[in-house]
Amino acid sequence: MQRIAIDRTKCIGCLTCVSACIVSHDAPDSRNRVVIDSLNKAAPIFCRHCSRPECVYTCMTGAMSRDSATGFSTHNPAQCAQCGMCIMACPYGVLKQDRMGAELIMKCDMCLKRINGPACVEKCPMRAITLAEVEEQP
Amino acid sequence: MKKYVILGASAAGVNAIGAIRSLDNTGLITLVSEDDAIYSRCILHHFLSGARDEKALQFIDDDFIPKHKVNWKKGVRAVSLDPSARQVTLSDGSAEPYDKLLVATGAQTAFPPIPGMQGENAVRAAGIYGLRTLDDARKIKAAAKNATSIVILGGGLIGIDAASGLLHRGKPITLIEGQHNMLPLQLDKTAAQGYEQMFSNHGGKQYYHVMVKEITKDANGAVSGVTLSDGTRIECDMIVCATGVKANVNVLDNSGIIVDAKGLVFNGRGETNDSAVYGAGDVGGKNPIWPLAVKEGIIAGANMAGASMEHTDFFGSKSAMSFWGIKTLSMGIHTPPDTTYTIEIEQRDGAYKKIVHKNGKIYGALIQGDLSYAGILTQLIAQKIDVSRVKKSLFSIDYSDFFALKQNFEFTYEEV
Repeated sequence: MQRIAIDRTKCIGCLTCVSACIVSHDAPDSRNRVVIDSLNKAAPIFCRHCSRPECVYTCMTGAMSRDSATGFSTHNPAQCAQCGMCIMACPYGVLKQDRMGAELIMKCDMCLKRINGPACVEKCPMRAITLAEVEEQP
Repeated sequence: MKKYVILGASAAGVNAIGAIRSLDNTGLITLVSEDDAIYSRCILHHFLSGARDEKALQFIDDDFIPKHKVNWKKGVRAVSLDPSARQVTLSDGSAEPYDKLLVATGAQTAFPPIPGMQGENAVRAAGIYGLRTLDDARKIKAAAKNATSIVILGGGLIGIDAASGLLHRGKPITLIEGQHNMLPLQLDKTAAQGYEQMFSNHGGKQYYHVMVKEITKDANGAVSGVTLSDGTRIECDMIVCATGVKANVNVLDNSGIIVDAKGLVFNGRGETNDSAVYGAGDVGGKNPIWPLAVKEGIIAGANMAGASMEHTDFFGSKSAMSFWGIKTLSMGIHTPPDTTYTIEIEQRDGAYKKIVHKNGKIYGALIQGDLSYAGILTQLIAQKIDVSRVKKSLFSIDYSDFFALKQNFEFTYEEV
């Protein structure tokens, strides 16, 4: 499967990826973020589309599901009950509700509707995030 | 060809089927369930309120059963198990032989032995309902239409599910909870306040720190009211009982499969004391939450199909709730057992956050209002990860200080 590879050493925290995400989804919030650690170092926090996705395991409505063909875990707002379980389940604190109505889960969908793939990857000026073909955890 | 029999069509059973089919494309899978539909019991309150119809309770794709080549016997219960013959007898009189059996029969409402709970012939008195299955919800929905006054016993998640699903009818609803606030397992008094206020704003009445002394009945044997331990009398013609559940282990009676006080005994691989019999989900009675039922189902299913998977997540102390527009996450303990813990609280813009910690480890958190990015707290609490390296406020803790990548670019937590 493909995953967004992260080279943290190249990240300068410019947030171009964050803007790209917002634009790509025409949304009030981004599905990724860049945070600063206690040593002032930037850390790009991007959904990993985990091989064993906690957000999918915890979803009680079937709104969060993993496509076994692509390996991507995506969120279907129409089926979502806004219970917050997926937010609580993500071990890396990637998920959040939307800022406006708190009714949508801000979940990376790898920009599946975009011909050129994830907008964040395309726009990153440092090539800190790139697309990589990876082995799935069995 | 292997023959799999799955008892129970909820989180554990359904996910076990997914795991089995991903490993064994030719084996025969029979699913036996009393339920006539596959639905999420965690959202039954949305069915009660009318926000979702039965179809919208389904947590799988429409083609799940045919796609996984499952022979689904619905509306049927497994009544007994003969492990030596490797055979289950069903309520329709038929027998299902198996090579591998998964007991994922879940739990059922436990009706406490309150005087008056039972009517004629030890059958529950008319007007008393549990809220566990879709069938329960159908009955509650129908009865609530004609009810004049409804009492809910128990202010836990199921009780508040019932309350939130029935309030819109505008009928008098009274909640009775033995502890000091609503959702006492999940919330402290402050976090409960918003919910209690909303319940009361919608016309709900609530009594705390009281017990029900007696359920009274009319001449026809139907419920007529409850009397509380402090003498308060509440007239009602409908009761939803949400004081607890018990594991569905009757099928295992006299089978030799080991059951303890809580439920079926199975290990981290889903194995019971019989090598052909597995268990998963609420029937174990230990960690009755959806995500663990899912994982236990996947693990048991995979092992039944010949894989080797072991469960490592036993953290069941987490709940997400959303009632009357207020969302809360509750992880670990919200009130420390003694004074050696530090409590930090942040309250602003209607949000309430509380973190309980001690010696660099977080033991519990309440996040009410904005839930953003709070998942990391679950992990830090469940894995007892040392957070003393984090120099920012615990309320804005994030993954940056733990950032570590596996070779395949998945995140991980390194040993510290």
